[in-house]
Amino acid sequence: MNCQEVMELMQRSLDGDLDSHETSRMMEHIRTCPECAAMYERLTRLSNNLAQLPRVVPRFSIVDSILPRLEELPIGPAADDAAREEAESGVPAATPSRSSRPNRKTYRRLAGAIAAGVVAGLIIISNPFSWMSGSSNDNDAASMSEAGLLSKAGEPASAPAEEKMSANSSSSAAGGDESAMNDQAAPSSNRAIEPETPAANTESADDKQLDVRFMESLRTDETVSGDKAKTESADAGRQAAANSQPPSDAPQMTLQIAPSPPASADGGSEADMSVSGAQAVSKSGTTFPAAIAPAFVWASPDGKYKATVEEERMKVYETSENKLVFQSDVRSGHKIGSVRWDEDSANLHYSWTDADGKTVSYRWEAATGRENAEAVAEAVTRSGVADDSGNAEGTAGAGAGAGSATDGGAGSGSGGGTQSGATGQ
Amino acid sequence: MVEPDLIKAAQAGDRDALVALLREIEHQVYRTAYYLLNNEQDAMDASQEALIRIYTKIHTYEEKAQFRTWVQRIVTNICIDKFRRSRPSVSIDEHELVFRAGDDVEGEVMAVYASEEIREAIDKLPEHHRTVVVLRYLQDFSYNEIAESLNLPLNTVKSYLFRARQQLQALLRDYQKGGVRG
Repeated sequence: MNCQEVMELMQRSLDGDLDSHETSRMMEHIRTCPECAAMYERLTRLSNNLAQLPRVVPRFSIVDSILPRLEELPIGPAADDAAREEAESGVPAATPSRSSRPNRKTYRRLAGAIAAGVVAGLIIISNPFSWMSGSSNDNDAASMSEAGLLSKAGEPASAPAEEKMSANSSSSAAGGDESAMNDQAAPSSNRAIEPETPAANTESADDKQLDVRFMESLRTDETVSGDKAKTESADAGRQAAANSQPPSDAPQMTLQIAPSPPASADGGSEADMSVSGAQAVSKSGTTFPAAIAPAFVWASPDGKYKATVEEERMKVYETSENKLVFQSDVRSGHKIGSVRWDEDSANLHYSWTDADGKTVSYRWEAATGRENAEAVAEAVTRSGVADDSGNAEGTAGAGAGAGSATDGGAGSGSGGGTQSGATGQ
Repeated sequence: MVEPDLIKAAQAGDRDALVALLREIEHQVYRTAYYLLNNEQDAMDASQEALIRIYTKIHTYEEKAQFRTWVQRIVTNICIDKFRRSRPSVSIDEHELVFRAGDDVEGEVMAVYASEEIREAIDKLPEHHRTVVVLRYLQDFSYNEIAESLNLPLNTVKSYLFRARQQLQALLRDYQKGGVRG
């Protein structure tokens, strides 16, 4: 047995961890090895000293000192948050510091409010043509004249601009890391103050088209070439004409619930979507987590049903009992679009667009509770920029009553663009 | 030893029972904090924090663990966090772990270390070694109880404790040799 092994035995002996056999082996070694004997002495003495360290007690009762605070604290499972806060606050006695420091919940609430504000702002100015004029201004000065057409249509809309401004300032005040939404809100708000503002007022109060697309993947306008920007602006002009048609009474919303494919300079459905106002939104750097998608509910005009998109399917609930009366198949990776109810609430129209840009329109019939496919639009093959309008012609987004028959761009629900399809119906 | 009934009442939401329970454990909490932090004020702060956490987290205690090891886990975690925040990590050079013997054996054997010296030596240990020593000697915990408190394997606990004692005896011996004691 060497000294190192004996060291372990000596250590364990201090903790009463040796059996009699081990003890006798250790003692045998120590008798013949003065070094280990000395070490054993020292360790034993140390251990005894450690065991005799004074059992210090606090000068005053710690429980008494925290009693007033304890009475304020919740106990039980609901106390978890509070406890975490306490733990983070370091010295517990410093109660006043709690009020001076906004907690996470505050940030979350703030972020939520900001997000709501930004969404509201986007909806107000979400007339896709206004966005397009904005983006074309950004990208190509040659398109100014067409954008100008739009801005002639009305007075500068100060209200939306203000709303965007405030959303912007509060989001930057809130600090970046609390919410992803918050991060993303800032750039979009910044951009929104730019040239599209004059155009925003082309959306009159009775134009109820809403076109909000939530992009999960981040895209930037770098992916849009100048050429395409021109095309967009051309479309913008045509669609502006469409917009001048009597607007639909049925509110229209487009909601993208699936992650979009990564942006590519030449990319099929991506490029198609660039003709939509929603794309202009996404180009501004706005991305929203899909998580907020369920907030969108399309109520039938008679109030009897509510349609919503959950778990990548269309679901219809009976409003009175909140009973699920219909759910579609799961459309994984699809985008829902052109959701609208008939005036008489007899049918719910919507369309799904898959990752390849193929759009299928459906009609859900309240009387039967069944879903019927209405029309299929093939994926747009993008051979050139001109395809934007060309393909739009052939696209039958649900409820896409072409607003302007003279140009193919109007009312286009092209490829990925389930968006503005119903503009002029 | 805290009565199981008191713990149950506290977990059921009886605030008086919870406060009574805290009174029973406040000294053991403070003692650990004091020897881990080697500072009265820090120990008070850490103890308050630990007691508040126990107060709000009592419902998460499960009977499969010993109550006192659960309490010590909370207080040691708080102290280690505090320690990391307040000072740079201290480590002991490896050479001090070298098994030294043979020189001037008799001269030191008879010496008795003052508790002040021991406390300062403990303070020089790396945090895990210190924690193990404190639980072993100030809470009279077994290897198993230490392992449960610190969520460490048994062998790791032993290794920390053995190394800590070796370091301590080396430190204290140097102390004496340095002529601090007359």
